[in-house]
Amino acid sequence: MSNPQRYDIYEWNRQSYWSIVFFVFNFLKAIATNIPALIGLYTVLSKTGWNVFIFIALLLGLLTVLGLFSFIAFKRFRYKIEGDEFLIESGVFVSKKLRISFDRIQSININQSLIHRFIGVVSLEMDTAGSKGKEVHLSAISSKFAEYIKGTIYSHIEDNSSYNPLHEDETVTQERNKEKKVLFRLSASDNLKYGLLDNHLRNLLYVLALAFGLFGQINDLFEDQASNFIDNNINGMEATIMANIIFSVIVMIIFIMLIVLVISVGKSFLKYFDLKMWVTNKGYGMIAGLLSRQETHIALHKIQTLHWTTNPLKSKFDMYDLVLSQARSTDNDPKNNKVFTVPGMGKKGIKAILNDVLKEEIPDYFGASAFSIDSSYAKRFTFYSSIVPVIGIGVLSYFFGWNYMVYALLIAALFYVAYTLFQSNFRYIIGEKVIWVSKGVLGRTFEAAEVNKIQTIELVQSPYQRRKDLASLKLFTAGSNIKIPYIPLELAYQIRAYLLKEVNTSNEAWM
Amino acid sequence: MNGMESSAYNNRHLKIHEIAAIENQEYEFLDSKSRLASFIGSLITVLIIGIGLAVLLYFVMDKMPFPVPYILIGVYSTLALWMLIYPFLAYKKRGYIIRSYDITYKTGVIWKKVISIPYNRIQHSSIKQGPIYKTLGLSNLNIFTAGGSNSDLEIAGLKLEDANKLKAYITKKVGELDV
Repeated sequence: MSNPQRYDIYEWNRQSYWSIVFFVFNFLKAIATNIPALIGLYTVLSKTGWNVFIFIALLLGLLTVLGLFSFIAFKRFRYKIEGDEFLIESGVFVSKKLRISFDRIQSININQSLIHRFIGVVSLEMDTAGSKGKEVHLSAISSKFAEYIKGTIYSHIEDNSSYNPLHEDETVTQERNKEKKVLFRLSASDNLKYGLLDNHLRNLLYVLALAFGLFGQINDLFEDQASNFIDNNINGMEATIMANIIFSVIVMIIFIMLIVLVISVGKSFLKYFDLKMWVTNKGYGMIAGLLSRQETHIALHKIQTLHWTTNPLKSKFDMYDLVLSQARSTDNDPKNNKVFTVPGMGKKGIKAILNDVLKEEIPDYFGASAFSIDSSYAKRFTFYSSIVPVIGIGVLSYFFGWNYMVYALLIAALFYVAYTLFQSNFRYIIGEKVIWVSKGVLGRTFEAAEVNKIQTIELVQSPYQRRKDLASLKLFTAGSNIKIPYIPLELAYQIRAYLLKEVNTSNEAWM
Repeated sequence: MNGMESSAYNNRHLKIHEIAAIENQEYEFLDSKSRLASFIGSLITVLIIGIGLAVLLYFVMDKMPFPVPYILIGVYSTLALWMLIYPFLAYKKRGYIIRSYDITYKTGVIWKKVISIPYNRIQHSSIKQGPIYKTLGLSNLNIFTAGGSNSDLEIAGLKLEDANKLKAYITKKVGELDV
């Protein structure tokens, strides 16, 4: 495609010489997993009078053989295209031949890890239907050649109309070369900001829960010695020492918080480093990552639902996580339920994408067409959520003293505040073509799904809802689902009838 | 699909008073033998758990602190009673509606659920028969969509010939409406 004179995939090709490095690496990895065996071998041999030098000499010999093997492996690893198949020949002693027909290829991914970038090569993987791992893995080839292979195979697939239309979207990659209109880019400073504004409180709670769990286990292990120690010492202590302890606990929490912060900021920084998202005429593409660069694609017609989330801090800086849910190709396979997540996107970018995918503007969630849910939602859900903890704590209080019931009340109060906020924030709009939901306790999640993408409609009523003539609606799509709880029954009926009519009479394909 | 339209129920919702049709429809009940089938199923489960509990209590009743065995027996009897009554309660609450464009199924004694699936969203359907159903001439009709396992529909307790008829109708509809 880019240089047909130099590249010819229809003849046998070898990988870049650098692939030897990866062959060595793979062999070493195989050896590394056998290190216990090596140690065992060494101890056995040392008892029979062998010394360490002979062992090292043996190891060196092994490494030489390994280098040789890697070279042979490199020489014998060949690949080409023949007809509608991708052929690979490999194997050091036993020659292996692999034929992959194009209609089995789900996607072709080009990746570049840090080592790859240092050397200036890429790896190419082909995802094939009916196999768990990556059947085809070229560990080191030049990036131009990789693009050429990808383009060639995709154009083969495209030319042959008898192929599954599922593959259409994968040709996105090919389009990308012609037209790479960058829609969104996460700068390094925005990336840091994004990481810093993340919900660290939640992470801290996880860590604290873990720490308390550990304390409990240690306490159990030493039969309450730990808590006895703390009790005894605290009882006999002066106020100043108490203050010191409280101070050090606070310092400790701040310290843990800092560690959590550094880890999560670092993680998101590595993952989203130099993130680029671009538009093609078939869909979107995205690439990101510092240590290993991950490239993902999504086709417009495969998008089932869109949602974008923010927390109170991020919303101040106009940062949202946009998630495009793709249709799952098979059930019960989480790997197939792919989502396309763009972190730290601004409202402007989201508007552009909504315009592109849904051909609609973000509606006014407080306008005339927006509905809210019934206020009894907060009380009922507080009741449902707190009943188990309250009974649990109640039983404990029976044995250990009723003052523990304070915690039960506290939990119920927290639930009540959260559900009240959720209920008063919930807004939904049943548009002509799109269903919109806005919800959240402190942060916000916005959901949008085309009416046409709905697969199944479920109307649920609890005994309480039946008494109050309320119902909850669940709208299932092939991507994610939309729930509208606690709305008047009559309205639920109308919405259901409307949606069914729209879906029943729709001639548009949902995928 | 003009010929179909006249014979089957027409659910084109054109005017506002015609909207909201499902809730005004008469649901078709499942086969009356399905009560017996689920009762036998429940009975077997109740017996197995009961035997397990009896064996457990026989060996360790003395070692348990005072109220525990009685709590266990109480919980078991309540559950057993519920499981044995449930098939008869559930039967009255279950039903389906076939319309020219979609199928609706309702279920649930305490929490009620009404699931509607348009034919043009159905991926495939299948008929299943367990040993109890087989002897009673009943079957399960499963309808699958791309919406994941939570959105799939299982109509349990149809007469086998009804299930076959229904499946054939749905398959035909799916073929007609497929875009």
